[in-house]
Amino acid sequence: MTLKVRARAFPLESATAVFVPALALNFGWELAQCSLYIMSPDTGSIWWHCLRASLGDAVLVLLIWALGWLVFRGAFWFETPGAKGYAVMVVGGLCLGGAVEWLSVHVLKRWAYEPEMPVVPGLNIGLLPLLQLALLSPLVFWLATLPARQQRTDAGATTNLRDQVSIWLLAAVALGLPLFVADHDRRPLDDPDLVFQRPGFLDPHGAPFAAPRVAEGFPAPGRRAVVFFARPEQEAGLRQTLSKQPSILGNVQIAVAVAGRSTQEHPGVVWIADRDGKLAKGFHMSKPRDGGPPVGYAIVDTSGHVRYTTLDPGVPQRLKEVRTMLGATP
Amino acid sequence: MSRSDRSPLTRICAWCLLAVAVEVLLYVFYFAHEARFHWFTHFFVGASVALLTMSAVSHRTRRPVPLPLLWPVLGHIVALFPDFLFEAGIAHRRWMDVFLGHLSTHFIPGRNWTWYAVSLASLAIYLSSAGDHAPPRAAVSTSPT
Repeated sequence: MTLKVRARAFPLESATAVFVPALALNFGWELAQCSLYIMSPDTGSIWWHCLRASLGDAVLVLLIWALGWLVFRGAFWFETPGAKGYAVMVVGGLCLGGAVEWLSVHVLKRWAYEPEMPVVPGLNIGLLPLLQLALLSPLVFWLATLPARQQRTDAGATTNLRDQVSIWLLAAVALGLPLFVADHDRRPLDDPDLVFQRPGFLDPHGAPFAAPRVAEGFPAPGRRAVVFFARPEQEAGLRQTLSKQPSILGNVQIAVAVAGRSTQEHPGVVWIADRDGKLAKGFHMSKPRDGGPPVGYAIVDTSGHVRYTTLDPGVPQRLKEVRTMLGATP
Repeated sequence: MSRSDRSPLTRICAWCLLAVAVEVLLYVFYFAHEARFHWFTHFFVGASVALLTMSAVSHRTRRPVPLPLLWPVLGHIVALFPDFLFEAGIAHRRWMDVFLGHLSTHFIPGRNWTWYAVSLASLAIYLSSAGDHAPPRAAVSTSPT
C-alpha cells in the first residue's frame, strides 16, 4: 500500500511536505531568538524580519532534503531515515546553518549579537543559530512524513496520528506562547540573564572573592555583612523597610550604597554614596538591562569574602529572602 | 452517582482538570514571587523526564500509560521541590541537583527555550510510542447494543 503511494508521488509533493513545516518551525525559532540579535534600525517589523529569515531557513532545509535525495537516491528518503538519514539531517544542518551564519556575520556583516547570545569559540558565531537547523531538521522531516503515515493502514484500522499531531501542536502553542510572553516581559532593572537573578545558592558566579572595603570596619572579620545597592528613587523605600523590620536580618553588618546623592540614614546601617559605581564594580554586581547602576545586594561571609550577588529590584519586599541567604552563609 | 456509574471520559476530564489546576496554582505562586523564569525551567525539565519515562513504560507494557497528564505534573513537583524548601527558609545547595538538576538545569545555553524544545521532543517521542500501542479508533468507539 505504502509502496503504491510512493510510486505515484511526485518529488514536488515531497518538497512541499518538507517546506511547510520547515517554514513554521523556523519562524517560531527565529521569533524566539530575535531578542539576541542586534539589527540595523531599517530592519522594519520584527515579524516581517523573522518571516524573511525563516523563508531562508526553509530553503536551507530543502537543500538538506536535496542532499539526502542525492545520497539515498530517493525523494522520500526521510520517511524511513535510519541512522544515516538522521546523520544527513543533523550534519547537513550544522554545516549549512554554520556556513550561512558565518558568512552573514563575518563577511556580509548583516547582523551582530547581543551579549546574551552564547557564542561558539573559534567560529565566533551564535550557538543558537548554529544548532537551529541541526535540531529542527529531524523534527521537520518527521512532520513531513505525517501525511503519508496518515494514509497508512494497519490491518484496516486507522492510526491516531491526527490526534497525536493535534496534541503536540496544542502543547507547543500552549507552552510556547506564555514562554515567549514571559521572556519579553522583563523590567529595565532586571539582570540581562535571569539565571543570575536571585539564584538562591551561594557562589553562583564561581569562586568567592575578597570583598572591597565599604567603610571603616566594614566588612568586619568574624561578622557576616550585606550590602544593598540602590538608586536614589529606591532609597526611601529601603530605609522604610529596614525601619519596620529592624531585626529581620539578625546580627549582621548592613550597608546601603546609593548610586547618587544619598539623603537617607538609619541607625546601625552604613549609608554611603556610590556615585561613580566603584563599589558596585568591586562587588562584581551585574549591570541591569537599562545599563544603569545595579539595584540588588551582595552578601559577605565571616572571612570577608563575597558569596552572593544578585540584582533584585524588589528587594525591599523580599528581606525574608535575604535572611534565607544570610542563613546559608558561613 | 456511584463511582462505577462515572464514565471514563468524566474521570479523565477530572484528572486533567486537577493537573491543570495544580500547574496554574504553581504558576501563580511563582508569578507572585517574580520567578516565572524558574517555573518554566522546572516545568520543562520535569515534564521531559516524565514523558521519557512514560515512553519507556508505554514501550515496555505495550499500552499508553494511565493518567498521562499527571506524570508531567509529578515530574514538575519533583524538579521544583527545593523551591518549597527555600520558601521555608532553607537556601539552595549544590546537592539539590538530585531534584532533576534543580540548580544546574538553569545554566543550559539557550536557557528555557532549549528545555522547551527538549520537552516538545520528549512529547513527540511519547506520543509516537503511545500511538504505536493505542487501540485503533474503531475499537474504542461505542458500539450500538
